[in-house]
Amino acid sequence: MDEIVRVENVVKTFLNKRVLNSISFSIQKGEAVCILGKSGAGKTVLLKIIVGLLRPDKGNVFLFGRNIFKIKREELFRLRENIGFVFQNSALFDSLTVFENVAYPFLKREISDEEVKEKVLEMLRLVEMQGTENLMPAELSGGMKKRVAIARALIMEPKLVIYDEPTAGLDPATGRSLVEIIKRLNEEKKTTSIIVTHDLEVASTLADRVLFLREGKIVKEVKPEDLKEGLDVEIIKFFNLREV
Amino acid sequence: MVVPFLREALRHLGAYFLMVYYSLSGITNLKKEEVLRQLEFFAISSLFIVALAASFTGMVTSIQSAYQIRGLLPLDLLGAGVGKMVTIELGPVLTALILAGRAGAAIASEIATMNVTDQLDAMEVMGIDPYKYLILPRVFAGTLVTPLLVVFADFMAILSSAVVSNIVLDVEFSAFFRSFLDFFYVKDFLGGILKGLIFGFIITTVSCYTGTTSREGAKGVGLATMRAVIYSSVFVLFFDYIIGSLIYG
Repeated sequence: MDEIVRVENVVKTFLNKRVLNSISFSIQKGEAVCILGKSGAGKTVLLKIIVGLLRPDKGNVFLFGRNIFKIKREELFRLRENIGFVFQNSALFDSLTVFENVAYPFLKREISDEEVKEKVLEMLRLVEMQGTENLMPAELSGGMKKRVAIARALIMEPKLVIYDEPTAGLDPATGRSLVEIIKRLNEEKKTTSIIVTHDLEVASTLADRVLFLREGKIVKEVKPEDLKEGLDVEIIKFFNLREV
Repeated sequence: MVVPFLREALRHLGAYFLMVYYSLSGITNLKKEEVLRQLEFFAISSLFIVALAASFTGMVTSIQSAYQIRGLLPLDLLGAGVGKMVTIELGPVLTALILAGRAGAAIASEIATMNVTDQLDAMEVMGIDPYKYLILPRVFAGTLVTPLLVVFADFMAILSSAVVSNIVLDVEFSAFFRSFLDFFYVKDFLGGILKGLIFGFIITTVSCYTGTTSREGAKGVGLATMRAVIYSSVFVLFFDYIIGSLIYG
């Protein structure tokens, strides 16, 4: 299998606090890997390092075989065109409509308006947000924003999709429907994905492999079946996790 | 105390120049639609306030200049004095300070909000460089519009000065404009335009920089906006001295 992401001995410290402590793992093409950990465990920092938004104090990250900290800025931007990122707070452009948000990744591309329109409407349909094209982000609920963010992340058919706490801040029903959408899209598009969450249910539904992050280290790696069979009581207690 | 301050200042200076370099490196791929949108924003949002400030400045300059020269020089020379003051100094500096407060604050708060809500990160992850697609159009438009607003401010200030000189001080329009033209040097006018260009660049780049370096939360947005206005104004006044010394010194 092709390696999509390789994280090598990544260390990151903020104000004398070591957030990530020699993290290493790799993700193969087509895999859905979930990183599970408590709030403040450094999950978002890890994601930002993986896409080059933050620089680690030590270590390397390889995306599609390229060391992202040893390539030119322009090259990194080109590499990122293969990534879709769903931010925890959706990060929709608040001065643009839903349509413009989803179409935004086409900014750099030479593509006709008709084609953009077709792709955006199709993507909105896939995330069950048809008819909202002209709404502004401020007019959307949290769950709707997440769906638009997913549409925006997937519209370029990226090779790697990263979800940062996809269900955070949503009520259980909305969270579940969002997980179903992500699962369906992952199966349809066959993308590689990284899902960061603190929710066992999300992890067991979406992941092929679950990594537990604790005190800046990967302390355990399990299969989703193991989660369904029941997790060590110690781990559940430690992470304050909700059981499946 | 001094060393950490200097280190921090140098770090900001380095980061500022890096931002300017990365932004300007995208000049060949400048998005025309975004530049037009920014031109419209700069021009329209500031036109009225520039006109108002320039008019009152022109009027008060007439009155105060007359007070200073009365008994020493004929009031017919008011046109020359006001013209020089406005084209060399008041027009560019006044316009720049207004733009720092109006457009600079708007740019900083917009970009800072985008920063603290991950919108800038979202652009980067999509492979879209915020320096080229967000900052460069603003810098380009601001640098282009400021000299035009300076010319407009010059015009409004001189016109209002002529009107007040005529109504309040009994200076004929013909005498006012004759003395203005007799002492008008192209160098004065072009110096003002040059100041406008440089001030426009300073205001937009400084405002974009404070926006992109804002910290988390609403307080961070407020601080970034305040810093944009203060730093832009201070740098405008500093470079006003430098340019003034080089051209007219």
